[in-house]
Amino acid sequence: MTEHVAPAARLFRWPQGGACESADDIAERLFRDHGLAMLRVALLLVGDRASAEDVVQDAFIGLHRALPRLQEPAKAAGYLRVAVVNGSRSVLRTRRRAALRRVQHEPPVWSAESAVMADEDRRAVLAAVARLPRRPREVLALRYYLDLTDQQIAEALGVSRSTVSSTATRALAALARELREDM
Amino acid sequence: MNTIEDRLRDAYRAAAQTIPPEAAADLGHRPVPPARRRAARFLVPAAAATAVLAVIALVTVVARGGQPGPSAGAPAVGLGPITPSASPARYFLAFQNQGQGSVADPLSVFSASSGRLIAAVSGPQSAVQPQAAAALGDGSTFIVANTTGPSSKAACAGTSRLYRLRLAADGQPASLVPLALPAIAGNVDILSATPDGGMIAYDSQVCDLPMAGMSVLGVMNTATGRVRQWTWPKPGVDVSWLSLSDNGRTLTYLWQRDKVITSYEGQTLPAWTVSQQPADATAGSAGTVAATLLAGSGKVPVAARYRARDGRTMGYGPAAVTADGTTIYYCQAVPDRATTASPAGYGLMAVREYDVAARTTTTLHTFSGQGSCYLSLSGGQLLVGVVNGANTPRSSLFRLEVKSRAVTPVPDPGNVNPLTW
Repeated sequence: MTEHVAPAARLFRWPQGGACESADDIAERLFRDHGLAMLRVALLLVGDRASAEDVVQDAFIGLHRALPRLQEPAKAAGYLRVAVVNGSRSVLRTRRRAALRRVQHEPPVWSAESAVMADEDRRAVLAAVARLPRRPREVLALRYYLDLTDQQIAEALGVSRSTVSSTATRALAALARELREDM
Repeated sequence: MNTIEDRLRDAYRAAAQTIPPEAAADLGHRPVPPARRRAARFLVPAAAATAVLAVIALVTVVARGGQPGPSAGAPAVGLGPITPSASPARYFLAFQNQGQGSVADPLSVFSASSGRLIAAVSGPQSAVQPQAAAALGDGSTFIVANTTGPSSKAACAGTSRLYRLRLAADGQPASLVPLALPAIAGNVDILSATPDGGMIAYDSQVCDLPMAGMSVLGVMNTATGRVRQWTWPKPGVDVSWLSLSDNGRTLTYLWQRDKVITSYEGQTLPAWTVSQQPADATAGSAGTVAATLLAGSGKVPVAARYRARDGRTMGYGPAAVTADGTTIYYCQAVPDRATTASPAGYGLMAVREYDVAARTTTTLHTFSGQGSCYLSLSGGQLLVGVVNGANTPRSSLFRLEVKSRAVTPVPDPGNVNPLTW
């Protein structure tokens, strides 16, 4: 029988002070604090729960690895947002490639094929959002679901604050136009 | 609801709430590092088929007399329609233990009624040496895994591919062809499948996880090729059995508790587990039965554990789970009070039934023997194999009707490890 010897658990102390915590404890606490919100915003970006779960699991794995590089707890949330946005982009890119192979995936929660959302108006709103380009979709989800500031959105997306602001303005105008036509 | 911003917030909130709060907690078990997982998940048609075909050129199904099988050089295929049967299967697959010095223990087909050897699935010269197999519900189709790698000693660095084995009406292997499914990193050593083959679960030994001895649990949707994988909450946990329920939503696995390490430096997330200790668990319980309930869309694990209270652990106890996931069957070594067995020995092998909801355990039957035990469920019957003796092991095989608890011995097929039926 193979014997396995475990090294001691790594402990972290944030530079600002506080108690030492193991990486697992920190990751678990961060998951408790942010897991659901990240899962839900990932759903809004990729459309289906299974993909959203994959994105969030990957994001937390990345966070676990990145803990030694993060200098303060507040940065963990920002790291997660960036990871979820990037992971969602990756899912959508992969999905486009998969579509060429006719690989199926779960329909978005706002699609007619999905029975998850019953309200027609809400589905119409989200379907209209889904037709927007990638960046406006990300800006709207971070702003109107996570209620992030434009500065926080800019950091999550790697763009300037003014880009976030102008993107949101144009996206809202486009949505208003489309939804009036649809209604 | 007057502005577009209000409507947007409202729609986002409604969509987000389709994920209930408990879903986050259910994201337990640590997934495999992304790079590896993606490599497996999206290695489909072109690249995978090319790679598979390179291997497949050498595939042969060697019948008992050493004749090449009919599917040599076959291209990768889909699983095809499977029509599950309510009757117990007529054949089972088992590894023939050939003892020390053998090249490999060949996977072979046996009659479930007579125990007679029908044919070896692969011979020593075959390029395909299956290490794991899972029966589908029609009684004649099996999924088998074959690992190719840099060397037999480093199988965990290799790649496993899945094949479809079909038996003819007389039990002879009719075809062994590669499935057009993603390759799986590592050495797949345990397989389980839903009766229709729609979902496959596997355990794969991989080399590059933070600790040696870790394994990866994976679930693959055979219609889409979609794979989800998790590593175990603790390194050193050696999964020794898997059983997937018919609806693909409950996975029962067994680990060897004596390999669990409680403190480690991992790169992955802690598991969120819910312990389910059977109310009537007795001292002397051996092994650990763990059920992973794959909730909702069949992916999210919540572990339920059943483990020994007295600290005495033995590596026995494969588990099988019913179609609806509500009942788990497992082997448990128990003391033979009629003998003067040594304290470390048990002497008897009980097949137990664990009701997941009620957390109660009952004994279906107790067999004589204290070696390895094998279980496989088909059509309401358990195929039970008990291997006795360390130096000259012999297998005893039985069919156990779970409802009536009737036991039917299967004539001795020799020294085999029954795998699936």
